[in-house]
Amino acid sequence: MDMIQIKIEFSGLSRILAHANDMLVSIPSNGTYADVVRTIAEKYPDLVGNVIDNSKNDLFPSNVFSRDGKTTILPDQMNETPHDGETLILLSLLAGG
Amino acid sequence: MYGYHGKILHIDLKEKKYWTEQKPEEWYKKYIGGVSMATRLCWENIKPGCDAYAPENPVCFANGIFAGTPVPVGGKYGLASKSPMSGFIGDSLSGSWFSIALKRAGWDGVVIHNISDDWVNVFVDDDHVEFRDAKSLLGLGTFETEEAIREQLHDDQVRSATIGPSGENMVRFANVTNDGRQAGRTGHGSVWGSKKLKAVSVRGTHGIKVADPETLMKLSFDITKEAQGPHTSKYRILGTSTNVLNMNKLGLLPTRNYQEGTFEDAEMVSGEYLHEHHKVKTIACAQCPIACEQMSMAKGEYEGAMTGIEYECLFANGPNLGINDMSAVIKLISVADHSGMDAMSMGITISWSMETFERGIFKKEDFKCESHPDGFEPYFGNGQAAVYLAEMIRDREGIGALLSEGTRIASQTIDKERGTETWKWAMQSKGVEPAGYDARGLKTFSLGSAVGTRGPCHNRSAAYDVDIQGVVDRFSVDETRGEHAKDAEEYAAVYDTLPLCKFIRRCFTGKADRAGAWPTIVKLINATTGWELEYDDIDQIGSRAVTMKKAFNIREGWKRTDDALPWRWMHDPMTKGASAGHVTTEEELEYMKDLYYKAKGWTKDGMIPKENLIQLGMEDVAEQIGV
Repeated sequence: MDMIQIKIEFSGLSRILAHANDMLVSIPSNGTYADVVRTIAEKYPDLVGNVIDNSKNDLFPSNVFSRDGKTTILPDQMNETPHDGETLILLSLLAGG
Repeated sequence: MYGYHGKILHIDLKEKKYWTEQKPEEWYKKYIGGVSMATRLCWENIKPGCDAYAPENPVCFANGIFAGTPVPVGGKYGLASKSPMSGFIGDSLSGSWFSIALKRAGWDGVVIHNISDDWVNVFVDDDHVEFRDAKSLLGLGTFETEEAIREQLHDDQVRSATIGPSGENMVRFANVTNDGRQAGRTGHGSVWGSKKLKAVSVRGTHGIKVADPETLMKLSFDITKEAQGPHTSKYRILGTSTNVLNMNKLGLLPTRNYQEGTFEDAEMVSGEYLHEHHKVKTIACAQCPIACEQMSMAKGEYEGAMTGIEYECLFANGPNLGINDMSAVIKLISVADHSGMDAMSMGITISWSMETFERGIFKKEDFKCESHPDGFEPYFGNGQAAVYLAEMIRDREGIGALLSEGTRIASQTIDKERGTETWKWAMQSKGVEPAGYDARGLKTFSLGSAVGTRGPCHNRSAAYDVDIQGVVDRFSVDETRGEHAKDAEEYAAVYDTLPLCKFIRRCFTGKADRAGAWPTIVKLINATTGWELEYDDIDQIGSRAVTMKKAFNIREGWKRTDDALPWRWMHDPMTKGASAGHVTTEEELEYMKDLYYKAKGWTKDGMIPKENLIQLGMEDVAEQIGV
C-alpha cells in the first residue's frame, strides 16, 4: 500500500500533553485528515478528551489544523486527503489575554 | 426587583457629598450592567465635549447582573469614562472580589463626579460614604495600596479599586486595579489621577436576592462542572500566553514594533517556556472555576519580580521589543502591573521609541536619566533598557514624560519638533495601541479593529475568529466582512454587558456560537431577575451595547475617518512568515467600512438613523444624535 507522510507540529496544550514538539504521521495515500487525527490519538492518548474528540476522529472545537500556517482545515474537510509531505500545525485557539 | 438593588450611588469629590438615584426596572432591562450600563451612565452624567481630565468627566462603575450570585465567572464590573487616549468612550472590565463587595454594599452602579482638592480614598461602607485622606497611600503600588487600606480599616474583607504611581503621575494609559485584575486599555488610571482619586474601597454586608434560587443553583452547578473539563483545559494549564507560538506560526506575532509577524526566538518567550521555567502557580478570580492566570516569577537579575502573565502583555513586552529573555519580560509586566499601567500600551510605546532610536531620530542623549546621565541605547532586544524606560514612563522621568502620553501624542510631538514622520510607525488607532494579532494577515479583524468604539481591541471584537478558523480567506476581502465584524462585535458585547468572562463560552453546550450559548444565558438572566427574556432579547443586549458606545462617540465628535488603522498595517507589508506580503489597503478598508455600516443599519457616514435607536428603546439618544 502506498503511504504518505504528514508532519504534525504541536503547540500549546497539545505540546504539553504530548511532551513532544512534533511527530511524523504515515497514512495510506488515500487516507484522510480524520486518519491523521486517529494516528495522533493512538500515539498520544492524553490528547483525547482535551484536544482530540473522544471519538478520536475529530478535533475538539477551537482546535484546528493549519496547513503551513496559511490555510485552516475546516471541520467539513476532515474526510479529504492530505498531500504527501504536508505540514499541519495543531493549534489550540484562544481568545482574550 | 431581583438581581439588582434599583439604585445608583453618586459621589461628588469636590463637595464631599453623596446621593442616591433610583432607576426603574425598564432601565435595567435595557442596559443590564457591565460596559453597556457604564456607558449609559457616562452618557447621562458627562458634559458633552469636555476634556477627559475635566471635572465634568465622571468615573462610572456598573456592576454585573450575576456578581455575588453562584453564576460562574459572573463576578465582574464595567468601568467607563471619556478616555484621555481616544477622546471617545473608554470602557473597561475588571472582575473578582471588588464587584461582589459592591453588589453586597447595595449598589448597581457608582458615578463619581468632580475633582477632589486633596488625594482621597472613597470608602463605600454599605449605605454610607466616607472621604478618607489618601496622602499616606501616595507612591504605593496598586497591590500595596489595597493591603494598606485593609490595614487602615482593620478589615480584611474590604475590597479596593486603586491606582498606583502611574495613575498618580497621570500616565495617559494608566490602569485601575483591583484584586490583581486590571481595568485597562483606555486610561482610567490617569482620569482617577486627574481627580486625585487614589482608591475606591467597599465593604458590603447585604444579601443579594434572586428570583429563582433553585434554578440558578442547578444551572450554575452544571456550568461549573463543564468549566472543569476539556473546554477550558487550555486556559487552566497554560493560559492565554500559549498564543505566542500560535501567532508566530501564523505569521501574526507582532515583532519589533510590528515590523514583522514572526520572532526567531519565540520559543524562549512562549507560554510553554513560561509554564516550564517560570510559573509559580495558577490563580483564579473570585466566582471563577476556571483559574487561568499564570502567576510567574523572574529569575537571575530580575529575581523577585512576579506577576500574572497573559498573551497580550507577553507579546507587547517580548517579541514586540525583540526581547528573548523571559525574566526581563516578567520584570517589565511586573513594573506595569504594580505601578498600574497598561502593559500593552507601555510595551508598544517603548517599541515605537526603540524603532525611532534605531532609525537614528532618537539619539543616546535623548535617553538621559538619573541612573544614566549620558543616556543609554534602547535598541531592540535590550531588556535592561526596556526596564529603564518602563520605570521612566511610570515616573515621568526624562523621555518617560513624552512616552507616558502614548504613541499618538509622542509621535506627533517629535514629528513637530524634528520634522520627522515617526507617526508612520506609531502603532495606534483612535490613540489606542492595538492587540497582538497582526491585522495585515487578518482582513476581517482589520475591519473589527478599525471600527472599534474604544480603539482596536481583541476583546471587543473577536473578528479574527472567522479569519483564523478558515471561515473566510484571511488574506482577502469579500462582501461578507461587514456582517462578520458586526456579529463578532455584538457577540462580545453580550458577554461584556452581563458581564461574563468569555472563557466560559463553550461550557454551555460545547459550542461557542449564539445557538450554543444564548439559551442558557436567557435562563440565567431570567432565574436571576424573574424577567421573561427570550433568545432574540440576548442579541438586542449586544446590539444596544455597541450602539450606546457608538452614540457616545458620535456626541463627542466621531466621524468616519476616525475608523482607521495604523499606517503600517495599510502600507508596510511584512517580509517573513506565513502572512508576509499582505496589508489592508485603503480601498479595502473603505469598502469593508461601507459593508459594516450597512450591516449595522447606519448611514454611509456611519451615523445612526433615529428609527434604529428608537427600535432599541433609546428615544432620548435618538433625539440627540439620531439622523
